[in-house]
Amino acid sequence: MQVYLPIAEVSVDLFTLLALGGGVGFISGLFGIGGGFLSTPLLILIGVPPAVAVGSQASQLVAVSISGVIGHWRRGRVDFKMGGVMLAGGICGSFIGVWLFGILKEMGQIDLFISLSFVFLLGFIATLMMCEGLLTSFLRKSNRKKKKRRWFKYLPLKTRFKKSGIYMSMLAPFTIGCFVSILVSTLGIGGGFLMVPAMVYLLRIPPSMVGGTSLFQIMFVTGIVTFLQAFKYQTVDMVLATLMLIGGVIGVQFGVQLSTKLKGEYARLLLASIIMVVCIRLGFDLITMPEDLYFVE
Amino acid sequence: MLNKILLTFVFLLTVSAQTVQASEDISLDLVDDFIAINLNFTGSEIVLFGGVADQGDIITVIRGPSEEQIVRRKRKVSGLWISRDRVIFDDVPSLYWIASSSPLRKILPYTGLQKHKIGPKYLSFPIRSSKTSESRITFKNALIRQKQKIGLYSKTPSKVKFMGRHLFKSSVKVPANIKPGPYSIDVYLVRDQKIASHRVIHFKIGKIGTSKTVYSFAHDHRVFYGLFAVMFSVFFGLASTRLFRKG
Repeated sequence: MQVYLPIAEVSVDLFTLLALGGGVGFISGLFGIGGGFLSTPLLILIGVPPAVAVGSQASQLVAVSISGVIGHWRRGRVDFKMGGVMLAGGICGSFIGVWLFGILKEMGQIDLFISLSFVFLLGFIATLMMCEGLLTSFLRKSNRKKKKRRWFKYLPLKTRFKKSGIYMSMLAPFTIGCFVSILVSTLGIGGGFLMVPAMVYLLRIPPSMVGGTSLFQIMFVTGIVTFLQAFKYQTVDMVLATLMLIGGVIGVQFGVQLSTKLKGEYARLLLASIIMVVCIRLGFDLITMPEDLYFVE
Repeated sequence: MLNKILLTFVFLLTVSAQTVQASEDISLDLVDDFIAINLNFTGSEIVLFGGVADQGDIITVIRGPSEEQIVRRKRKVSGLWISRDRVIFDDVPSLYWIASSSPLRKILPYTGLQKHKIGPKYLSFPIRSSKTSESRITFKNALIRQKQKIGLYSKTPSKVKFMGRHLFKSSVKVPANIKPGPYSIDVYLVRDQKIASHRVIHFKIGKIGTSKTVYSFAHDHRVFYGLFAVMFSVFFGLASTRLFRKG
């Protein structure tokens, strides 16, 4: 059954959209990421204009992440204090990011910047996660707890994050929230795939807390993005978003349920493989000769 | 500009001198002069009926609302395919569809086709700006190629069917990615390798119902639409968790 999207001005298959929303929602609930890096290319693939894909999926991510946050929160797996500090950093970062985006656009190389950053970041994170995941599953806890001095040890404003059981400077999650958010606003995605590994590897937040806490932060960031997209560019298609939502909220529930059963390292290995596939696909597009050298925007 | 007007004038004079009859030669009617787009829109069919006093061949050219189009070309720079060159065209018809009762080449010489821009290869668009060392014609051709690929420009003309000697019917299927706005159909009566008569008929494609409501809300009340989109999503997220908790 076809449905016409009034803002995107294309007609797409209803069930394809529902399935797409459901699939992305599932991954979102399972790994605590927004899934923007997956749904944007998929929407473009089924014929939605890129700008509308970015704008509409942002509004879908708001609902999916709220639903996910509540799911995690009921299981006591959201560190609101940590999430709040990261969010504060995130808001600062998004302003810097928007400014940076303008400069790059003026230089005329924003597309290249986006593709290259994606390939580099996705590739780096996937490799890191895979190595770590493989190591931990093979050498189970052999030499765990090798206490290293970390970069934020000497920072001021130390505080206790009770939920995560960590005592550290507020500046650490703030900086990470800010840095990820710069990338988010220049790349036009939710940023969960960056946030989750950063929280696990840099901040050493317990894996059980990571999903819920990162979704908590993503919920606000995507809310801001949705509003700005609708206000500045009129690229939020509510019909598209609603259909993605219906699929998404169902998918996310299953994702959250499965995430309680799936071991942390397996979940990360799985996420790493998905990220790797997207990375290879994007990289492949950059180095192979396109079918048609010319394209219409 | 003045040259163009003069040329058209001379052309009109010669045409009317040769054939005398003006546009009353052709009578036209569209089955729908408004095509509505709502959420169930999957494309439509533009059906045109017409009658001619004397025998001849018919060519119809459907044009959609004009828009700006940016065409980019990718180049290999240190191993990566990067878009470098670009040309911006103005006044590109969003839809361009030809239908004809006989193969175009048989009924009208090249000069006639070119003069009236009948056929995608005779189209030309004004260039707003360009950043390339290549010929701009390759960019134009690429644009037409892409438009044909998504079904908005005709690759081969559709058929105009004659019912008897005087009545004809042209029906053209248009895809769902068609742009709303004003459309025109130029109808040419061709006789002895010349255009004997020409008439234009207009119709509109527009959004109605939910499709229109969403579109105008998004464009006319941007702040409220943005807030609404966020609130709707929040509500949706909350409602769904409620639902699942009970279920």
